[in-house]
Amino acid sequence: MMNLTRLLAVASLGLITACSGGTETATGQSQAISEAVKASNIGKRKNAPAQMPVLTRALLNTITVSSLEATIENTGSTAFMIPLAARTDSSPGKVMVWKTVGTEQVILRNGVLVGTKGVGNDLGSANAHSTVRGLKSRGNTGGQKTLYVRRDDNSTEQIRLQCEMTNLGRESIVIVERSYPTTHMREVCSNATGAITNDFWIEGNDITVRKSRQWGGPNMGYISFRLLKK
Amino acid sequence: MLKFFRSTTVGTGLRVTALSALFASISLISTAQIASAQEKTPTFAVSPQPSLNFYGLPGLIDMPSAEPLPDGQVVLGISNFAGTTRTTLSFQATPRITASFRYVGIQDWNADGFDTYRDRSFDVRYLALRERKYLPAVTVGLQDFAGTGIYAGEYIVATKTFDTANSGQIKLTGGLGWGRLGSSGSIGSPFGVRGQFVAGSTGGRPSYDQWFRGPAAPFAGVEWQVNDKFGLKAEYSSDAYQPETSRGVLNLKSQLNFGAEYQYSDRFRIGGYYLYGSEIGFNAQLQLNPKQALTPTNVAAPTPVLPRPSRNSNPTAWRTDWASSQTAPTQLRDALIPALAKEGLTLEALSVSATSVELRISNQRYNSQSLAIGRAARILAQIMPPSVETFRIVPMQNGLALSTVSIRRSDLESLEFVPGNADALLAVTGITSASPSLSNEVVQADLYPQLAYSVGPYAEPSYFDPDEPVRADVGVRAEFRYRFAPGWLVAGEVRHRLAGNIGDSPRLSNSVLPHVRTDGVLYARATDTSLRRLYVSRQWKPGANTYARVSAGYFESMFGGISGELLWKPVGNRLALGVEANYVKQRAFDQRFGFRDYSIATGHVSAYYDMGNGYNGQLDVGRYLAGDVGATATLTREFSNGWKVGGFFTLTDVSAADFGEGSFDKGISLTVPLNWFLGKPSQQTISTSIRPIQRDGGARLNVPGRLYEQVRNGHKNSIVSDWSRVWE
Repeated sequence: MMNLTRLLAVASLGLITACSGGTETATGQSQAISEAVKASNIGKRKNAPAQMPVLTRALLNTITVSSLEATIENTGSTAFMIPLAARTDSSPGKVMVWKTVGTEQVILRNGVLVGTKGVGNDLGSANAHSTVRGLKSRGNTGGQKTLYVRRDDNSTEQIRLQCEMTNLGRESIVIVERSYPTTHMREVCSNATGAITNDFWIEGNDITVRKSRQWGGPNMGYISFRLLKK
Repeated sequence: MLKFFRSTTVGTGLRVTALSALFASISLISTAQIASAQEKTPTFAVSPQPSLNFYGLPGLIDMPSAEPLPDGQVVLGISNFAGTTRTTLSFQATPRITASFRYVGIQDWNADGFDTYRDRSFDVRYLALRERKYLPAVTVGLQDFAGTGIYAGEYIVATKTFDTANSGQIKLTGGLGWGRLGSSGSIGSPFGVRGQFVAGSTGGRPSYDQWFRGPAAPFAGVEWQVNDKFGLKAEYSSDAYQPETSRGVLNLKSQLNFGAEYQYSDRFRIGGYYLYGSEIGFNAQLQLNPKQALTPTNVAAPTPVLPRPSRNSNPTAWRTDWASSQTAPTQLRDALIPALAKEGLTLEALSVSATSVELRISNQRYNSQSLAIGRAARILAQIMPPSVETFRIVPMQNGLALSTVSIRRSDLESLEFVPGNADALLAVTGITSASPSLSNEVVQADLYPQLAYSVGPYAEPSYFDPDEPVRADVGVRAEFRYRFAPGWLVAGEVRHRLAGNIGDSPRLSNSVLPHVRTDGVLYARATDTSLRRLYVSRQWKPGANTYARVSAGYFESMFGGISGELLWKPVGNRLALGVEANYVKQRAFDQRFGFRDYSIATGHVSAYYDMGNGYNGQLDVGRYLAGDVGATATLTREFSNGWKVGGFFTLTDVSAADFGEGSFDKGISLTVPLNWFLGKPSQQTISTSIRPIQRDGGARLNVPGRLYEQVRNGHKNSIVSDWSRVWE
């Protein structure tokens, strides 16, 4: 027969989380339970979401570095990013790695999305040759695009798309109180399972992508970018 | 003087503080103003997910359909009607083969010595023909093919899917059943007379003489998936439910069944039904796929590879005279240790020369060796002088050097952002054997001793007692692991039971064999506080491709003694061979330090074979705990994220009669990585083995720390299988 002490002990079992320590990582059932409880945020006070700063041109003027705003449409998450690294390699276009103050990165090649890291449902890499070429030429072009997306079983799935780029003409866009004359380029890509539309607003005569909306994979969905400061 | 190249950012001297204040991390805002894409975007290649029947398999209501589950799918079906509850775990083991394990309880049986009839059964299905444009899918199935039970039946079934323009999807199914599924509306016995189950048999063996014999009867049905959420089903059943009707469990008035189902989420579906003209039933269906995590794992982004300055622009940086410095290895080691520690990696040894480095690391954070290797490579690229071109990274496991992953630094620099960067890097990466020890090494001085301990709750279930299908003990346990030198381990675990009912079972062992496993109830009754394990072990590498272990102590709750193991496993080989010898004594029921008067020399010769695509086979031949001699065959489907689903059986020289119920030992095993649920890096897994019944024949010693599972994780096939994470 279970006595009162045992009943209390059993009742409190659900509240016990394993404690562990030492110079190496503990393993086993207790540790698994502990990790699960920690991850579930049980018992943690929920913080109110951080408020977005109100962007003003005056505020942007105080910033001395390039800055990019990225919004993942599926989750509604917006992040502000600064450059972490710049690279050139054998593929056309200059790679820029942007980072948040947290642990997320997006990788753009001449403004074309070619990777994300630490964001979740990440885009491993992408072939942006035809897109970069199309943006540079401002012409009606086409080509193949391949996105390499890691699945949850650690396999990589290649999503091959056939794309056509169209020049939609000149458009003036406003980003934080400033107007930018741009050329609106639209890339429509499809395969047997569906279609996507990537939009780019290119500034002036160079190939600065001032604003874009690009697809990052089936689970990532669309990300919108605004180059706040070049 | 050494010059270390550390990570820098573009735009050094940024006003990061001000930026942080302004760009306050990530925050959530409403994006209602963002127009959602109207088009159907491309999807991953996924197979359609069929709905389940009352047997937890693709089907209508009580009848099967021909659709396969998506490859790798694990499904749990729980159905109830007329006091009958069927709980079925099914697994799509290959794209064509589905295997199931079922536990059934039928209330008000009131016969054969049971108030409630409980039984376990196995099913297997084979997709003979995939659905084509004009042709249906065709599946052949065996239901309860190895039981003593009442569900034995076979079928061949065809299903054709029709998509309508605006009215959803319609699936038509028709089939022919035998056995239980041929008991109503028979059209004759095309393949002869059906063998009969012999009362009193121990069961558990494939009933070849019954399959597709005896009367055959047609069944048919239709499923209309009205939209994404709602589905309707109607069927004509060929099951007469003779065992149930004869015992008054079911009042069968019609062979027609009807139901409606609701898809609550992608993974969960429920249904309500009207069955056999008299009964209301329900069905709950849970479908999981290892390839689609509950929470996709997300790890913090790494620091990008820091490229070296070109040799032309900065020839000084490429000088090699630093390598002649006596202090260079220790300075580099001291720089690497904290950088690796930030990534959950431990530097175990380092050897450097002017052009190459070998770094031996253990990984305590990630369940992907490739991810750990990729992070280590980038840290080397940040810290090693530019003249160091070749990185040799050696994953270590409890003192064992598993393999050598050789990466050229220039490849790291040039391939990081190219399309298909993981495959591109793999093509130029070497994965070879690792020497047992490293020459000219510098080690982390304070690496040993290492202590890990944890205190927390435990739950120990016990299944399939006829009186109480699920019993469990719960309590608190404390465990520790102490490593005082490379390869050495002292480990132990103490449990204190706070509550439970495993010891309440009145069913004591009736086994005619030595009671090596069937005295579990006596062990549970003897004490609340038990010493589960306390042992010392040492493992080492005698050669580049061989691994050895010796252990002594209390290995498990029922046995303690000494154990030795030798494993041969070349890094790139699919085949591994091992031999294990043990001399053990049975522990006293109170699970402290005493022993009972039973000892046995037991051991096995083992062959392990990686068949590719995640299929692994294992054959163990030897002497088991009860002194019986035989072999265990195990087949496991493994996913590179850590999911494992397997089945095993053991045949020994013990007769079916001496073995008892079930005739021979068999079961299934399931391992799920914790990060699949949590989405955070973790090496923890949740594992369980389920046997229909635990007897004494074919029982193997549970020795902690067997070598094969430790070693293969760092070998070529395993590393390659999750190489897609090397750049994460």
